[in-house]
Amino acid sequence: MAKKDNAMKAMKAAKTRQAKASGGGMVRYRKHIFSVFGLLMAMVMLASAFLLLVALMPTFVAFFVDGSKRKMKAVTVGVMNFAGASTYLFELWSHGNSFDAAVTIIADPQAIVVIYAVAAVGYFLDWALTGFFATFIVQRAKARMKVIVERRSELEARWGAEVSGAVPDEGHEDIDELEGASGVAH
Amino acid sequence: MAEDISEEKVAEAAAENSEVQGDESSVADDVGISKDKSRNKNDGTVAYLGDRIEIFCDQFLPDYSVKDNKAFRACSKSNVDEQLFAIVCELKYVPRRRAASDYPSFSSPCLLPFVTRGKIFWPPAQQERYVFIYKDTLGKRVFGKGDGLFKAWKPEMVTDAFVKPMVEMLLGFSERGFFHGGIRADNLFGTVSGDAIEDVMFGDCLSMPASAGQSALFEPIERAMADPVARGNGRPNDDLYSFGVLLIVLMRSYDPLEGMSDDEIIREKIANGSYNALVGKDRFKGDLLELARGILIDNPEHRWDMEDVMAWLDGRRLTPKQAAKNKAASRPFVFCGEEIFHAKALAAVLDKSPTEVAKIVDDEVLDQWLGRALVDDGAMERLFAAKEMARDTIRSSQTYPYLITAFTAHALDQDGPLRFRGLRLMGHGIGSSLHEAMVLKKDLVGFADMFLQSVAIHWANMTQESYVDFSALASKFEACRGHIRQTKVGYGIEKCLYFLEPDTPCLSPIFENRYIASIEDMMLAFEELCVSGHPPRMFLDRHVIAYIHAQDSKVIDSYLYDLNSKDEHEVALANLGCLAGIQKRFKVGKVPGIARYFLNKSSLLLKKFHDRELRDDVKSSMEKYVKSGNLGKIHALLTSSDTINKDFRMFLMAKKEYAALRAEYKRLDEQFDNEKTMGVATGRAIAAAVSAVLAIIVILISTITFYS
Repeated sequence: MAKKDNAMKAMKAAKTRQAKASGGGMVRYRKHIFSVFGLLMAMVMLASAFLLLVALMPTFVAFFVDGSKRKMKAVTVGVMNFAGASTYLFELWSHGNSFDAAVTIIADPQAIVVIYAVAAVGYFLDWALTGFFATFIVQRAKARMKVIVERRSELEARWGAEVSGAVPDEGHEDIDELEGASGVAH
Repeated sequence: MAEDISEEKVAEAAAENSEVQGDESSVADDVGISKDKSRNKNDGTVAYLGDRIEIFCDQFLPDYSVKDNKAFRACSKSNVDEQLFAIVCELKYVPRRRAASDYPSFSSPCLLPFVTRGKIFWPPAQQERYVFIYKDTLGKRVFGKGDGLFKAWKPEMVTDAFVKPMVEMLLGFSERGFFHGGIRADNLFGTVSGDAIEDVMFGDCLSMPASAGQSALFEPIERAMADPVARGNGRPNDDLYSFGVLLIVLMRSYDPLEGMSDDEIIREKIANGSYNALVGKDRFKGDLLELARGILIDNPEHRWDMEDVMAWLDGRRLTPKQAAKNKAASRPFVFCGEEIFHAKALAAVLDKSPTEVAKIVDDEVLDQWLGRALVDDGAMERLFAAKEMARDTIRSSQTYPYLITAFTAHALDQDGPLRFRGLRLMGHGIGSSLHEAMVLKKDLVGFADMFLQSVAIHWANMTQESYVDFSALASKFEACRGHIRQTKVGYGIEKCLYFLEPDTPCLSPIFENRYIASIEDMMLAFEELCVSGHPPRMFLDRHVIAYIHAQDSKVIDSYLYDLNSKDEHEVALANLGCLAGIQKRFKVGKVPGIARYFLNKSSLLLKKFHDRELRDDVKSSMEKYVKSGNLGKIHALLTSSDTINKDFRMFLMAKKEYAALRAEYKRLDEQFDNEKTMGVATGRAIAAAVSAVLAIIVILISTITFYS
């Protein structure tokens, strides 16, 4: 039974490695397309790009500060940051999407404050919710471990030490075959 | 609720015995110890058989005693005037219980009237014994202490008072295949007045193995040469022979064999023939001469049987074959300083020195004597076959001398007993001899080797008596060889004992001081031991298993494998199962003591169940059945396949759950290795989601506001 599990695990790992190998190429390919597309859009919509470049500064900071792989902090700050910048983006578009209008908006301190304040909300959300849920998860895990310990004690009290597998089950030396026959995995 | 059937059976059997007077044919099966068991242990002078027979331990009757089996005065409570006596059997002798079942059906006046039999607590020995109860109608011994073995009675008196009733008695025996084995001078009783005798009667013949009480004088040569306790059941014409010897003793005027030992008497019979040895210089005339000669022919094939005797009685005159003397050699064979002229006589002494036998056989000294002095080609051929039989045994081994002695002796005397390692046994007497050896704690190697080395099988196959089927005996010995080879419980030398001698009680040390005559006795003994607080460590030991297997194999066959297991649980369960089967099959009645014993062993018996709660439930149920003493129900509880399977399935599920919990715990524990970052990724993901939702709301509001 143990040998079977190990073989299956090895197969799974091989498949994952294969998937990663093939998927990694795809990811890198997608990255190049996105970059090229982004540059093209920036060139076409220079004003909007300029506005977003300035407005999304908190996002860029968050991106570089966030050491995790998935960059969830950057996402949290980024979506709020973008929400804050969207009003002014609409305003820019209503003014013909000109570069001058973009500069005027950027030069307006009120605009920057609003945009950055909303981004700050994103920072706050990231800090608060992360802390809250991390604590919640730790406490839940601790509680679960306690429940597990109690349940194991109950099982040992009811079924004896043999249930843990630490003591052989006398009279059922062929328990592995019996378990297999009964369809119960060990 | 099972009732105490066993005690009721005892009471019924005792009630059957109450009508002692005038009902000689009524017989009880084995009657048990008195219901009031306390009486048995406290009285020092009276023993009780059932509730009606009292035996007085201080009233010894030496005249009625049979060798070591002593006789004591007894009486029946229902008929105190009638004189009874009891023969108390020594433990080393196997009483003839099966023969005792047939005995009461014979209605000869020469037979001692039988009353009952059974086991009692015997105060002088402080142990249980088997007893036979008879009516005291014996009169006086015909041959008193110190009397010579001759009476010089007239043939007419002997014919009327002795021969006719005896022949009738022996005819009855012959028709039913019953062997008396106690026809001898010191067992003859009657009323003698002057030259007349009336009411001749023989004493007890059941309390010892057949012919165990006979001296060599009254036994045919081949049976006389066997150990007394090992003679076994004889043939009808063996009783006739004994009768013939007694006939001569009553008629002769002197004892030509006076002062001779048994071996010397045998030697004299071999040399001169039984008739001539017994008669000596006396000369008899008349018809009795013919009868005596006919029934004292040494060759069993030519000896008169009952048909011949009845023909003689009817008046037909048969001429008995001249008692052919055993062939004498022209020169003696010297063995261990003794000069021997006859093959039979030589066979009788060979076992004095097996190493000497090996020498004379290997050096062919014996061959030469057989060929040149005795001129017996048949014996030479048989000797050659004997050497072949022993050929496979390494000559330097310890066994070889014994083997060659046994085979050589049988080659020289085909009718004689099996002679091996100091044992002298007739085939049907091996069981009782083995019993005696076990009781007296003698060496059993001879018996074991006898079967292992096929000595017994060879003896049975080669025995000359062609008119007796020894193939059945050979098959039994073959089975015994198989039993000896097995070391497992239920086999071994113990199995041989109970297989060869069904009348033997169980000799397990568990039943110290008890007499176990049946499986029911055994169960009741177990119950008493448990109730008294001295239960055995485990009920079924080697002796008990072999005993049960020999008595009724069906009740124990299915448990033999588990009884040999090294797992104590399986052994205990097999013990319980077997006893439950016995309780049911033999209708033993409730045994709460035994049930409580198993309850106390519940921790061992319940090991098979994994679920501790189930164990507690089963134990509670067991407690209910303890009071009813029903072992079958307890066994059913412990072996219910539904319960066992369900328990096992649940156990596997619990095991699976335990393994899953252990894996989960391990995973959580690993996460705590980085407690600081634990949950952070999840929190951030949630924050991102919440933030995204808020952002969408903000963007929507902005859009709506802007464009409205």
